[in-house]
Amino acid sequence: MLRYALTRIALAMGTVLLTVLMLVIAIRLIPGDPAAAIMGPRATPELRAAIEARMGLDQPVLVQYIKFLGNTLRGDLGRDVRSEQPIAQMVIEKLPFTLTLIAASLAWSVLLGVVLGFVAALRRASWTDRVIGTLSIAAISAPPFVIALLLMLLFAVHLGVMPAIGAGEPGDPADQLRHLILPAIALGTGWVGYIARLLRASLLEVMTQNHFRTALAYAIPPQRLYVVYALRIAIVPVVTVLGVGIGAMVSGGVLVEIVFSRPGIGSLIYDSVVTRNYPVLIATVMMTTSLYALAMLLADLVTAILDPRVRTAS
Amino acid sequence: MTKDDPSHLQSARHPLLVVSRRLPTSARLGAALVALALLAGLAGLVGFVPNDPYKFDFANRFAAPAWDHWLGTDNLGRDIFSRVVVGSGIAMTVSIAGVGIAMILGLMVGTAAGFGPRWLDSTTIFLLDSLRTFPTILLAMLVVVIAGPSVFTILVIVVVSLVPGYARVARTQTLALRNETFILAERSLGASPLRIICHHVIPNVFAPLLVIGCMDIPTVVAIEAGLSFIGLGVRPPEPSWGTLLQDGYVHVRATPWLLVAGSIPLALVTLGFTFLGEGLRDALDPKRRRS
Repeated sequence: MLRYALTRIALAMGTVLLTVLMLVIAIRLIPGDPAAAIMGPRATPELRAAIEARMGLDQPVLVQYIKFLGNTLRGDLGRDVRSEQPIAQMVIEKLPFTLTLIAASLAWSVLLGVVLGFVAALRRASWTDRVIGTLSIAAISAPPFVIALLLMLLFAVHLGVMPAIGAGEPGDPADQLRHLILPAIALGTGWVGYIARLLRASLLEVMTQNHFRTALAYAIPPQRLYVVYALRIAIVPVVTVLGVGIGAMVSGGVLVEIVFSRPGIGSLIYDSVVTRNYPVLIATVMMTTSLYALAMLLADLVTAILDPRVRTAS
Repeated sequence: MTKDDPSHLQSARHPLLVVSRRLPTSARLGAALVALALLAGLAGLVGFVPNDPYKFDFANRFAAPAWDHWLGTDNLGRDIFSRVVVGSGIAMTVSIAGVGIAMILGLMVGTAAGFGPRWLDSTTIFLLDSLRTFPTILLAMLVVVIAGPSVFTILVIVVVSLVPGYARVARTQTLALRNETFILAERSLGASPLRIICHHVIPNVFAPLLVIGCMDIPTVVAIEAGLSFIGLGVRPPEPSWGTLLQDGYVHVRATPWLLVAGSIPLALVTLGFTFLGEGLRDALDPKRRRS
């Protein structure tokens, strides 16, 4: 187990380091110089040189990379050239919005997905099962940002019952909750379908196993039979897939945040891409990739703890 | 046809016919939607549209659907329906070309890893896993920053993000086959790895790759639309489903039609390819068929 865990941790760290290296190299490859892109045509050569020095662009790539990693380990992500704010502070300010959105989306999609998957498995091959199955596929395949746009059109613009943009007044939890509903529905819908299908398949498999048949033969009351003897085992793959879910939501959340003009890591990345603010871009991408890699790593480790075959196979 | 003529039996056993007969209704509906999307894509590519999709008509902005503008007009008075059709040309080209190129590359990488020495296999797996861990939308944004927004850039992004999936399937299949008795026999007779790959590995991975490819097309369509939506993909005035959605988003209080018109084709194509892919998977997989 220890060896497996160490391999996975090394892989996750390798991914993050590789990403940052690729990013630093990539920024060198961009045609035109970023200082001019930030300052526009008004930039004097002195100002440009100053900005390049501030961004570390006057140093060799490798030096720049190692310096960045060293600073990151000390919690210093550099300063934003435009606003003079420390980038670490910018990221920490935006992170809670993204994490709240992911948590809310995951929470409702797991609840509904488990219920639907449970019902579909119990009523296998009935029309209920077929309707849930078809709706699940439709939900999985719909892009979150399109759902977001349609939800906004219907509930915020047409009916006017929901706020369209922002994350709500700071210090007003009720308002913040109202602003969270539409983005969380948009981001979670696909996962409802995914979890429902996964749980259905997993439950059907458990129900063919010997321990379940024995329990059935002992005439254990249905609630206890299905919840304790089937659901408790069948839910394991759902738990392990949540790590992947968090990772996917970090990615899918970017566009949803943009649609609802919600502050968050996604909007921060988008803004830094559009304004060519490279230090902020490097820092936010590193944060996001780390979050993604961490979620995947936890998923792998939980799977390995629950299922010994995984760790011996590799 | 005489009684002894076996041709009718053979035709009845043609794999395509067998597969199509096993498809459930949802997959047939999916196939119909896919056919419609391909036709619309073709019409978009050759410019077979009722109105000029680029012509401004300021007197007629934000018109509701009517006989001369089936889906209404946009903020510049351009015909939305014609723009949707031209946009489907872009969506279909990017998705089919992207999936096709990624499939060929994935097949090459996967079989090379499966057949090659152990170090090649583990290096490839490490690189593929790193790529897989990287969130697609971030990868896309970074590539766009470097290469600038264009249809070609989107194609590169799509290929890079899809190759790991195909390569893994091809590798697993190659590893499973390389020690089978009939492959060992063929190798002992002097067959080259290339021959084994072409005659045994590719026919064996073709079905699973086809299914994954079919279900990846909606993902690619969504990537293209998503990037174009945030201005990092197809650039205006070129009509993509994403730029239509962007126009609809900006002018959402003036007209709902742009958003509706941009999302309906996206929804239909997504559903079509997903249902067809699901149906094909069940029809081609003997294990699923039995259950």
